[in-house]
Amino acid sequence: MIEWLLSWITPLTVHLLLIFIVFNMLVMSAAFMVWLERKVCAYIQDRKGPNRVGFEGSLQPFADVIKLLFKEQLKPKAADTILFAIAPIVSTTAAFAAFSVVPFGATLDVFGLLKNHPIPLEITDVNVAVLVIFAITSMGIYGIVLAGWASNSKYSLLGGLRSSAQMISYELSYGLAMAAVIMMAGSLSLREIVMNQSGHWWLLGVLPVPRWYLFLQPLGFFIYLCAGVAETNRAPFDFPEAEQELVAGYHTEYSSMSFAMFFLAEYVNMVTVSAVATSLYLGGWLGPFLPDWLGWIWFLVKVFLILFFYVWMRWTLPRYRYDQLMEFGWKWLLPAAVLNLFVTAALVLWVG
Amino acid sequence: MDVLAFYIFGAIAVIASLLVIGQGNPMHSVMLLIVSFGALAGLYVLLDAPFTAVTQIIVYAGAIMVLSSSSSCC
Repeated sequence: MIEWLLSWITPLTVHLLLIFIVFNMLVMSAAFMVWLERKVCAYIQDRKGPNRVGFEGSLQPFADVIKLLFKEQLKPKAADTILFAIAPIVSTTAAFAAFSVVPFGATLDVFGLLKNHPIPLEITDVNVAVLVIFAITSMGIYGIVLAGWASNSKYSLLGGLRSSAQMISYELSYGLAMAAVIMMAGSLSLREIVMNQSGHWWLLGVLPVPRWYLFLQPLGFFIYLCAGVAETNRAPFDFPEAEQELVAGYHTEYSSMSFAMFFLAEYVNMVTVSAVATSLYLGGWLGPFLPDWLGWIWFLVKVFLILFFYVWMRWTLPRYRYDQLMEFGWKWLLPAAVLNLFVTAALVLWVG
Repeated sequence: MDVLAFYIFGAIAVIASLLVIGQGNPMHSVMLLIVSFGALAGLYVLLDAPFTAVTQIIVYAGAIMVLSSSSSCC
């Protein structure tokens, strides 16, 4: 009786604990990103950034959230009530749900306690994980389309349409870069793609080089990062977001927590793109000096490096104008992604 | 458990599809059709076809409906 009870309570508790940990880490990482962005932006601009609220301003995001909670929530009179309320929910749900298939650590048994069912560190392990991430990212576009349409204002509508057109254009190159990695790994499951990247080559017989797909597909990595940055409407491709400075964006009519949810969705999307980039190209949780069960530390380090690169790019590069952005996506990035796919296919067939 | 899931997804798919044709607002129709496609993807998963489910979401709900929503909102 007790064994029957334990046999289903233990995996259930473990899964609930994993969901709790991942959800909280994503929300905390959004708060961390707000702080990181303001500090890095400040140091790039030769000033100090927030340093009043906590140690070096680390409680600043919480102060921002408290301020936003106290603001008045407005809705334009002619706005479509249901869709106006649903839009931030769709954005945020898609952002969080995409992280559910990303593996962030090796299969653990907690010091032999879970010998019977060792837990892989991820929420689920589907064998079509890469496609699930692609599908949920496609659903995230609806948050923006609905926000633009439901605000019932011409500027919001145009901003929303431009942003969604940008996102669907860059999804093509995003998918083709992923397809080249899938072809090399022979599997759609992210856990298997990471496990294929274990081991080393010996460069010149002396220097160990990890078998990451970054070294086998440098063009693919570049295409993936460009497309990922454009998907999340960040850095040089943030014309729809910066339209606010010029005209208006898709979230003009939103205030307080709805606005906070759009920005939470944007930061969590950035974290998801970085996490998938590390799994596909940078070898996930594999790293040199730590034992296998501490692999999640390497995962966090790699994700942090890509996020830092994102923030660095935003405050260093000027933004693209919208027609330059679309031209880049369709005329340069898509042919480069197709070329990458052809060369990868040829090499896979030739070399085996 | 599977039977319960089948009835729930089936009910959502049928009701959403029937509501599509009764909406005054084309954007509402598009959103209800997306709900219907989502329920259909759930039914595909119950039939042990996760790849078909995900491909349905990518192609239908992710691409075709974005196209029709950007044409029905203007």
